[in-house]
Amino acid sequence: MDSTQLLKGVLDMAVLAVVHDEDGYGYDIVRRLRDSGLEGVGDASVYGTLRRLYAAGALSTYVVPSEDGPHRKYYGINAEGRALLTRQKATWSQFSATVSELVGTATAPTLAPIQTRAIGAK
Amino acid sequence: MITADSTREAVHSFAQSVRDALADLPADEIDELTDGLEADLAERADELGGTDGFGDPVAYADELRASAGLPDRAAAGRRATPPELRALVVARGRAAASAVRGNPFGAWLIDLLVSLRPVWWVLRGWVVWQLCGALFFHQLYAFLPLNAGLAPDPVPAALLLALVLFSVQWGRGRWMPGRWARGLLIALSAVSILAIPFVLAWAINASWSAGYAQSSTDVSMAEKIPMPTPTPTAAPTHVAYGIEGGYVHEYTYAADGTLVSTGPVRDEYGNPLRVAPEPAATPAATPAATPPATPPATPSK
Repeated sequence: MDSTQLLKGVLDMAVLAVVHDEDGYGYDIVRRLRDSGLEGVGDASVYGTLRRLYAAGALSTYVVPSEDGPHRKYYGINAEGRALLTRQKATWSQFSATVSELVGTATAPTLAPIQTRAIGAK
Repeated sequence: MITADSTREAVHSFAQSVRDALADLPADEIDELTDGLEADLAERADELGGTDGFGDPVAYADELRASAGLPDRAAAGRRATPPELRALVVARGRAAASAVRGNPFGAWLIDLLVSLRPVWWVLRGWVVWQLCGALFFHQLYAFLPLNAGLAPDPVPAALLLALVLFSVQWGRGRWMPGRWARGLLIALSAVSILAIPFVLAWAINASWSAGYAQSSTDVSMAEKIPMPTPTPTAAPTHVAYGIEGGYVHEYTYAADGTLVSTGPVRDEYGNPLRVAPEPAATPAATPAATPPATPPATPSK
């Protein structure tokens, strides 16, 4: 199965989850997503998603100047973003359980393993 | 360090290409999308050991745009579809026309050209008729399909009338059965415009030739004199003319130089052709002639 199509549907939630853990700048967020198992995620897709979530009011942003190069733009989650993440988690949980039951795999005890298996599967 | 400088240069160049590919968006939107892009790219270049793995900046920009929920690149950035192209051409034409109409002379010129459209319709029909004549009938006329007696040739004349009629009707937007007719009309108009100089040149040439032939038959008696025809039994023959007693004589020789026939050259009334005043002593009817023994280069007395 082409995981990039699945990734498109959950990228908002994945980005929100990463930023929820800790504020980060664009490439930092990309790296953390890849380290979590989403190796196929594209830089530009993450930057665009950050921009969209910021425009939707789910993220706040601030610029950190850099001494040895261009400045970095950091993103942090706000109350609205946290509420959005909670709703998306619930939707995902229900959806993945339904699909897992449909295709006959073992029911998932937690959210994380399913997410990794469904999206990160190469 | 040269490597760091060149990497920074490559990062900057890539970021600029991405911004160029987003140029159809509002400026503040581009800033929001690409703010911090250089820092992110530089960090990635450090990890990759260079900028070779960045890929295509346009594809990068498209991905950025799509994931940010922004619309696809505007029509200007991609190949326009035929209807868009057509609309663009029409819009440009209208803009140009209104610009020309802006000054009094331009307005006067456009009005003049618009009122001259029927002339163009007739001209187009005539040019297509000339092309048809040349292509299908291998016949070149001057300006009108007239034969040598200045009477209209029926078939070409009917064709000319029909083509001019169609050209005028199509110019008025009538008799257009479908879109293909409009396409055909545009193609024919283009061909006509290209062919005008050539068709005009040959029509003028043809009318001059016809006029010359007409005037020369009117004034010259010589062309109406029955010309000697080679006798089939003695071919090939040589014909020489000489003047004997003021009358033009014709001498026909066989190939071996023997005289085959001789006689006076007569005009259209059957009278011997005289080049000098009639001598008083010689009878006018049939003057005696003494032919030269061999074909003379320039016959003389």
